[in-house]
Amino acid sequence: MWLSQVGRTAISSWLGFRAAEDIRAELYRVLQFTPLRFYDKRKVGNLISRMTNDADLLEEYLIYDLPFILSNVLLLLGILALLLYKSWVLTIYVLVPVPPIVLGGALIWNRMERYWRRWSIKWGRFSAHLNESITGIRLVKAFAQEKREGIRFNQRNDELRQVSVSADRAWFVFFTVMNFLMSFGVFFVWYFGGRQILDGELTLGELIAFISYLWMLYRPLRWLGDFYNFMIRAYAGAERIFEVMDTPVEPFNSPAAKPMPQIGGRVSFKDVTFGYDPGKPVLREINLEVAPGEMIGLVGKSGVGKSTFINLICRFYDINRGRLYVDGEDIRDIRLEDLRGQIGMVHQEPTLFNVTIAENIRYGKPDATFNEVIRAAIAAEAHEFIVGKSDGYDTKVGEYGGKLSGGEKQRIAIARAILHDPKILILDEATSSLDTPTEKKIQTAITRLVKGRTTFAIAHRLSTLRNADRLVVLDDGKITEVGTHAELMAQRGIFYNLVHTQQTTTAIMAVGGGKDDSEEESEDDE
Amino acid sequence: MASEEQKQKIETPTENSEAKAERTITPIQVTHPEQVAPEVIRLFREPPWVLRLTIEGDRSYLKVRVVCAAPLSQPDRYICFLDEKNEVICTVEDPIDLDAASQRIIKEEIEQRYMTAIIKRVDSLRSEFGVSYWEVQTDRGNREFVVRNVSENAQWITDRRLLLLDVDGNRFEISNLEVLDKKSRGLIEMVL
Repeated sequence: MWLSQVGRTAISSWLGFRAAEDIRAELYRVLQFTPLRFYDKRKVGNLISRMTNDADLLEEYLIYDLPFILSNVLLLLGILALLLYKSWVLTIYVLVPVPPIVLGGALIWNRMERYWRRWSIKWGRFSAHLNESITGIRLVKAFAQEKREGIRFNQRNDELRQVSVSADRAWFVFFTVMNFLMSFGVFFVWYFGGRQILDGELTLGELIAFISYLWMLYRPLRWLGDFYNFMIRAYAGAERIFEVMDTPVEPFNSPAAKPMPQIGGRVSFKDVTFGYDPGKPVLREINLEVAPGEMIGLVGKSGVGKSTFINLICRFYDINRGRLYVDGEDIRDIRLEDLRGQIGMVHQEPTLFNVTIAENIRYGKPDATFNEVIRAAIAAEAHEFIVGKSDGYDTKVGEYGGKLSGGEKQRIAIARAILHDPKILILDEATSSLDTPTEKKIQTAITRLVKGRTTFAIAHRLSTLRNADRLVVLDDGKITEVGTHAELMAQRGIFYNLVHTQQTTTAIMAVGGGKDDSEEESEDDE
Repeated sequence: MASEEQKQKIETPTENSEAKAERTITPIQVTHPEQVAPEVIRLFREPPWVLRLTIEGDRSYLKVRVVCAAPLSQPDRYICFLDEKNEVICTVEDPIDLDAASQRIIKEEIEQRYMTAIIKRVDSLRSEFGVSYWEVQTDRGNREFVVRNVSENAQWITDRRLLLLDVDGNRFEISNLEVLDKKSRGLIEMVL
């Protein structure tokens, strides 16, 4: 008996842990493969809380509650059978309070589920706030907002406490009423059992034995009450988990999609219209032919759709109208893995993982040899600063690359892109916010990187786009000017005005004492 | 191994400032050869406390430093030579391609720079408020050291290889966690 119980517990625990592991793995898979649009309106901390807190609730339920339901129900039925055998009349009195308890349980289900769902939502918000404030701790400190953030945190913390207290209070009331009603059963047994003794139908010993069995009945009943509460809680958590799991993932390897192991680099926009909200297009009727190996500089005011333009090439979002071709194939018909595998990106704030420098460089090509890593780092002007660090390429870069300077992170990102060897390259403000010597090094690295690749570059310093084969000027979601730097300057259109504005701003900065290195470059622009 | 552009640039003094030119020393900017064959590299100490490097038939460098590009994952390969400005002169993939005397110097320099005690057994380990106190037996004898914030100062190089950096910057390595005795492993698992 004891051995079988141990065996059952071990098996059920193993199954429970396994099921919880599978749920977390599936949730993570969905989060990895879900389209970017999914993340636009969700907070990272909230999603993490589903992976941790909600999954924990489900795990506890699967391991510590569910496996014991059968044994407790059997125990309950066994004791009931014994009570019926001893005295079916008294057993009926015991069961008199059961219908109102069952009814109450059914009524409280919705109420408790609402509470626990709210609790999960509040926990998600709490995690989101925590994630945001710790990730942005530099900004918090820079603006001396620690107290304000503390107040905001306490608000979230208090919301969590309030909903927990409300849920516990509701459950306590239900549980107390349930116990009270059950005690009526005992009262009935004493009363009617006593009368049966007086009538000589029952002995005192039989009544005491019956009441002893009755107390035994309460243990599984109480357990079932607790189980009910945990079940509601796990159910609320599971709902939030399955809400994510039901998100359609990107058709990464859709059988209908065409494999394209070697992209040439020709990109064609045909009447492309796109908006994150389909009713509000960010880009309208875009038409552009880009030849393989050509470098295109994207120019325009902030918010004009330059980054959106790039997002469409990576197929982070699907276009609303028109066609976007890569090597003559509709981008929607190309296997995502092949398309994105041949696009490289260098951002203003490159993302680095908290692993070694070598691992970060290898990220796009995990099987690269160490020789290849070094060659890429040399080409990216990164080798020197890397070997200057005490652990060289084995240096851990810290969370988000926090142990490196902006220029160092940028050069590692360029080395990563060089090693990845993409056919289409995207440079999103890759040289902004850097001091002049670093920018020069990065410009040298970028010159090597863009050679032979179709490149789309966004840069707020217009002079840095001078090497582009063509500049594409976006205004109000449309392409308004296309041409070389000299051609656009001669046109005296939007690009000319943008360059002129930048020069004026630089001159004002110089007069105001804020003269910087960009002045020299801006002067060259005309 | 490759290094970068080679140009010897001498800054031209301004025409109208001869007197000024007399007062200031013209800076000489030196960059390094793009490709260096390992067999033409010679390392030697002259005087004995100064390490020098000569690329035969090309140039010579004073005050050279020897560093390992990846001291943890590739401890015996990818050796870089830095000049006194800490600029990379060149990188050699395998020092075996150099002459015996240079190899010996590289070995000495690397050992001195990355001196790491290999932990053979953990006798005692306790952790209090984020600080761990270690008593270990290493290949260099018994050692006691303190590691602050283990999550920051312990680095898993592989699944089983661990590097610890103590409060004084000394390095301790567990080459293979699996070959340690059961007690040592149990103690380590308590803090990591």
